[in-house]
Amino acid sequence: MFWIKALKSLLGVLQSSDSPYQIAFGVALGALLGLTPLATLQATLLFLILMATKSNLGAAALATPLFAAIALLLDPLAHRIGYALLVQTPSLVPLWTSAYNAPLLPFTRFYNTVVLGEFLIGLILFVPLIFLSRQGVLYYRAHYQEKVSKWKIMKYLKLTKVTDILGKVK
Amino acid sequence: MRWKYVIPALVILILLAIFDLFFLDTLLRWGIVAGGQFAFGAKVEAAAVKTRLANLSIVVSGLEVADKDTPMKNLFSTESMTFALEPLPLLSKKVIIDSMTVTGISYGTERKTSGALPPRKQAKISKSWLAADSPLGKLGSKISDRAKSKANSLPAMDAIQSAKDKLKTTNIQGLVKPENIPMLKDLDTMKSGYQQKSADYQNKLKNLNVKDTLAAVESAWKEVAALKIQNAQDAVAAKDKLDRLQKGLQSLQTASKEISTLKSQAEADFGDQKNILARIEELKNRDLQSVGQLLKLPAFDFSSITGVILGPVWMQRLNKTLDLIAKARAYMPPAKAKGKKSAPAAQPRLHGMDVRFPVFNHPPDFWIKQITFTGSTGGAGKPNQPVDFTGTISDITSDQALLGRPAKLDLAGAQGARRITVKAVLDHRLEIPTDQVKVEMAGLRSEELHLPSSEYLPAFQGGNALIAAGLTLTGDQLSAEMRLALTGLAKNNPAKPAGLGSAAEIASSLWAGIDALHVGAKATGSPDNLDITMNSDLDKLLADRMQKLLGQEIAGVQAKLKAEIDKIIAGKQSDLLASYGADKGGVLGSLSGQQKELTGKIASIQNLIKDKQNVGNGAVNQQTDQLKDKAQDQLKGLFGR
Repeated sequence: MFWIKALKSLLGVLQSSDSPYQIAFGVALGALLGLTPLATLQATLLFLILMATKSNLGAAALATPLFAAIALLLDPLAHRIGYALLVQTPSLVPLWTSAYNAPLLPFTRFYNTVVLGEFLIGLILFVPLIFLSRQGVLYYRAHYQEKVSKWKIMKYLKLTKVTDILGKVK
Repeated sequence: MRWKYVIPALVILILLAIFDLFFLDTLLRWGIVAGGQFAFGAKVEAAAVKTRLANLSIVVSGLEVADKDTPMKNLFSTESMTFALEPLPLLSKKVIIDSMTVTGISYGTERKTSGALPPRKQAKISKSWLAADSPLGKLGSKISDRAKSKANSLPAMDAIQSAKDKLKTTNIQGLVKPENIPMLKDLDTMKSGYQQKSADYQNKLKNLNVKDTLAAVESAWKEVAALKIQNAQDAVAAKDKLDRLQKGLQSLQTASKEISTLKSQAEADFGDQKNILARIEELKNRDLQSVGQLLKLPAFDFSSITGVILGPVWMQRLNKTLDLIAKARAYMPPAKAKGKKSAPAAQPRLHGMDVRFPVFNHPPDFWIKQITFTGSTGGAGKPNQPVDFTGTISDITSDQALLGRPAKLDLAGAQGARRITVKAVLDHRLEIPTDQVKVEMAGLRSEELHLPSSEYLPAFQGGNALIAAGLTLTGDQLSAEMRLALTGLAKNNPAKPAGLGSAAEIASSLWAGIDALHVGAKATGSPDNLDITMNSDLDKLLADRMQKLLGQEIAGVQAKLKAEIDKIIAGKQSDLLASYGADKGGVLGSLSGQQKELTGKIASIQNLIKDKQNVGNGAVNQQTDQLKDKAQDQLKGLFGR
């Protein structure tokens, strides 16, 4: 079931009428959300941005679990980045101390080495992901969209609930 | 902008605002009532709660907290409580209230409905942290138990009256029967004891064989007495007889010494007659007491009447203060409790390391910086002239160690001579918390003291009371003291109606002429070793008066009992004394007689020996002189002079 749903989502995103930028933003925001622990302030803000902007939700829904899985692999690297910034860079300590004493910032859990490291990885990947995703969508639409739309499975998928819901939300 | 999302979100926000408008106040009110009931174990009511999200202010009107021990009274009530939450700290999950204003505080006012919680709720609360298994809970229970036992330690007035009646109608002859007088047997035992002693001494005297010794010496004495010493040869011949008499003399002296020792022993054993009489008196008192017990009079201890009457009131108030301190300690835990608080558990997703940075001006999670309050000692059900008071409470916080300051309360009020002062310092900054409370009230009327209704107390009115009480609680070590000075008292029973009940009569005569009372009370120690003492300047006076009231009847009955016992034992007593006199006289007489005989004989022997020695010495000297003269004459003839 999971794979069918994933396939439906993927095809739904690729075949949607959204602009390549909308899909690319969806992927980038979803990636950042996937790299961020859920019970943090930045996760809530990212979710609100995702919902409030016209970025493609289907793309975000695919990117979030994908990057959450990647984050598990990135934990050791993220820890090292976070540790270097939080502990091994004395010049940044005043910045962190101010943030630690600020009213809302501790809710981001920035003081955790892995959280900080992965959020930074997410930010670094954000722009490249937008660019790559946009290029990918453009390439797909130029070379494969027509062929794929003629697949019998697409007719079947269009009748399903998931496709309907995605169509309504976008 | 994705309007399909934004519009529902806005709708939700609007719904939340509407919810706040209509339901938030109700929910908050419900929360205050539920939390208050949990904390105080009695009904809590709030007339209205009004919140304003614009400035995050809350106004609680008509708050009433019932007293769990006296449900028809309020522990305290307020007209209004107004405070505002600081918005920025809220974003860091911190509730900081810069200032709170409480107006119209009153305490101990009457309620129209009972403030007791339903049994199910009470059971739930009793299982909570308010349960008595905490050190302060145990301390409170101990004080409460003492108060109850103290309150019940005075006999009821009707018990005294029934005892008096019983004494008047007691059948003395029926009580004092020979079988109820154990001393009759004791007198017999004493008599036979003296007889036995007499026999023993007579036997010992007999065993000394004084007669035989005297007879043996008599022959030697006669031989020496018959001696005629005329010259030195006679003296030499008398020496053996004198030596034998000398030995006889020694045996008589030994016998005399033994008799002397026996006499001393006998005198000590038999003692003096006044000792016998004292012993008889002792036995008589013992039997008097045991016969008195047959009357089954209750034991009346009036040694601390004022303590017994006023002690429970003080202990109940002490207990109530401890209860409030226990609540304060629960909500403002000492440093150790804070140390035990564990850090939030890391989410499984959040591996890595939390780096802690220095915290500057980090406020506690909960902090009311200052509460300003006004109130009155009067209120519903309190007829006294009220005293208005004002005060401040500072630094109510969940973490005193972090704040670095103790919570303080200052209350003061005065109206003419009437004055009230309360100071409290709740210091929970260290592992062992220290709480201090000082209360002073002056110019109160006796009616305002809420003295307990006791058969022993007349209804006092007027007067001028000064109360000074202090309490220090370090950990669970309590040190509390109270002084009450009540002067200018008047009693509310000016005319004694005819046929007045005896209890009222007793109370009236007990307090006659007393218009001042000074009471001191102390409680020190821990739950396992609590020492409570109370004293007053009237304890001795009241105890004497009480004893006198009951004592007249008791003394009368005791005199009758004593006379009856005297009558029963008179025969035996005189018999014992006669027997004692005869036994003691017989023994000492025999010993003295024998000793006298021995002494006479010893003296006569000593004189005889001395005489014979003198005669012998004279004869020897005379013969020596003659021989000297003869020798001189012969020498003179030899040399022709």
